[in-house]
Amino acid sequence: MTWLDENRDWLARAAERCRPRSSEPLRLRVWLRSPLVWDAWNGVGIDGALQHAIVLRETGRLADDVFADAPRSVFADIAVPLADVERAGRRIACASWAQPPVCAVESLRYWRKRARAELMPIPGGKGVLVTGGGAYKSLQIPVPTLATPYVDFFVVGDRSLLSDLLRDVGAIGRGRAGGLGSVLGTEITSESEDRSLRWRGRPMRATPVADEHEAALHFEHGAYELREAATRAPYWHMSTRALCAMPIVRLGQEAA
Amino acid sequence: MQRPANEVDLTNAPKTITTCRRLLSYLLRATRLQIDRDKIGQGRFASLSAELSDALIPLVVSERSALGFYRALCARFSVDPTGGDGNWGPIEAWLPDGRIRWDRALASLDYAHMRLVIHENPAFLSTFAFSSPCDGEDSIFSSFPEPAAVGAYRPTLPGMLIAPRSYRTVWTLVSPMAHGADEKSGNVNLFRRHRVVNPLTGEQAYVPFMAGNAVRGMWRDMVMARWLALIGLKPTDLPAERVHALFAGGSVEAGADGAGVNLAVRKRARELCPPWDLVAGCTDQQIMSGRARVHDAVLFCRENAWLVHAALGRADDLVEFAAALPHASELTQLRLGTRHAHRDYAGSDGTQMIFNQELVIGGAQMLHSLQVYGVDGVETTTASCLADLLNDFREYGTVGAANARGLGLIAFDSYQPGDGAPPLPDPAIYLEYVEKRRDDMRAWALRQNEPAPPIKPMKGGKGKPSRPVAPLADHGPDPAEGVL
Repeated sequence: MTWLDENRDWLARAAERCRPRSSEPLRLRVWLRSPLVWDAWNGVGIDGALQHAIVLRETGRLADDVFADAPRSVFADIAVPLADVERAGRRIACASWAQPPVCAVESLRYWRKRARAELMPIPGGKGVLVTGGGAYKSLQIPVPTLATPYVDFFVVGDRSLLSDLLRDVGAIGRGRAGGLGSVLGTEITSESEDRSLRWRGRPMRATPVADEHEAALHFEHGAYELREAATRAPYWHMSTRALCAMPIVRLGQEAA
Repeated sequence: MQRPANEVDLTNAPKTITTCRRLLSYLLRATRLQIDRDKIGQGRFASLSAELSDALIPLVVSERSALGFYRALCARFSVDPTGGDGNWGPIEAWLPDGRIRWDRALASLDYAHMRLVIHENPAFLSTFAFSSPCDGEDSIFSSFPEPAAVGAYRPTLPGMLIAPRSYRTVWTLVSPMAHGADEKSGNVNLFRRHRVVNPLTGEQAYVPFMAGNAVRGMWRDMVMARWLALIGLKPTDLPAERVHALFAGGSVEAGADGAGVNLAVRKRARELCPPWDLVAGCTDQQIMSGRARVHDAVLFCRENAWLVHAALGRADDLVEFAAALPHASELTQLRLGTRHAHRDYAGSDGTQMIFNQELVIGGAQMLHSLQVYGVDGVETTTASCLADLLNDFREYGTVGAANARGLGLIAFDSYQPGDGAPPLPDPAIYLEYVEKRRDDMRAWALRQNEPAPPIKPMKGGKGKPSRPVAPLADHGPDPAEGVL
């Protein structure tokens, strides 16, 4: 039995429960209780976080356990309550990257890890445990973060399904287990226009394009850059990579 | 440089971060010029710029006003700002547009801005202070623009929130608390801070906090130590790799990221070690996520008022609530510490030390919360293990560093489920489960009955097998110690 066969039931269940019944332009304002891990090169998405919550709900298992033995050739498309569109032959979710408010500032958080040498049995041989390197190395790693009270996601999706699912989106971005990107709560408001993919001439998320001419046709010069990037959650999957017009995110830029 | 003929009046000048940075830089330069080599000694004088850079953050944190900051600065470097020890009169900052006496300069500075500017980069200020005046140097200050929010800021505050399901409590500090800063500042060990933006005012501030990762690490130690005690083992009985995994999350050894996924191993780890299911890490070449997501502890202070107000769902007016809270800067203090070398004892090789430690004062409060990934699908034993841990933590009642010296004592009510979060089950379920599966758990912890790991080819070793570091399968306790 293949991985897909084993997981077909809950994938079908998720598709039935989470596909949007009706879609409208929405703004998800995610209020944060801690800094958000920030990488302007690859923005923070909301569709992956929604998928993660769905996997937990449908399987009761953590996503890394569910996907641990999935063959790399298999791409499981997990339905989320967001509308899809096709761009350059790829389906993408109508969901912008996190848009910080103008008051957001870059900051830094150190992530620390200390080997508990005092608890270790005395290793055989030399009786010395090396914590300066190797498997027991203690770490202090700087992580770039964004200090901001909230970020906005512009999406097209099903308001009631999102309202329910967002109760299980407890954090966004990386470093979640240690408290970074913790969500205080989310506000959903209607938007008069759709800003999920493009706004004022700039892409709002990684948007697949056939070539640079197509990118220039859709987006203003200087508002994007062309490179290969993942196009659909789960973004770690290599099959989702394609040439994309990528937003150039500048702090202090008006998002709303 | 000639003394400017005119005196500038900054009484009505705008108080911004940019003007603060500029004036402070010139004032520090003027102060630096008054430092006397004979008074502080050649040794200190030789590394004065580094000492100034190191001293700025502790000074601005430990004082409560610009005047206090400047007094402490002058005292540290034996400078008399009144000019009583020379022929030059009171210290004056010489700006391109005129001169200003030190006290008038300080009067025009906003101390909150000073804190921000100094926290941002003390080395910049020290470098400017120790550089020689030159034409055009003033333009550097316009290169660091004012944060965009300042000015016509409109408060943006949370409305009707869809809050993730979580468990929370409020810690009250029974004694001062220490939690080391990310960077060193000379012999002053500062409290850990992070930059926050207050949506009520749009202003930034550096606010003390306790990292969720630090609390998680402490909980990991507690829950693992308790589990080992329940199954009758000590950490030192276990193979080093297992101890490292349980207490520090393990390490991604060569091959772990690309190693074959072994669902049986993953399942066995979660089943036989509920604490592992809670905090997880990397063990047996399997990288795994834990169920617990532990948040930063948020200090009750004016800068965090909006966050505390929203998280606790308070019904009172936010502005009044914020006004009733002290600023974060008023909630810390410095405590002097000493370490004696005891040179009067023969053979003592200790080092004499004097240091300061910044602490959050006793009586302060912090909001703390956690979430459980997939709270509806979590194993009852894991949830029960979490309940047991939280009870244990409440009895232990200590956070942060220097607990042996009495720091970090806290009191709190048990963690309460927020909206939609189910109550945690009885801890007795976990304890009964451990009792029932004790032998299996011991075998897992000791890595008994497991096949030896494959010998990995050595990097660049032309396919030669690497030397095994330690036998894993038979690395149990020494029977001679009578542990089993």
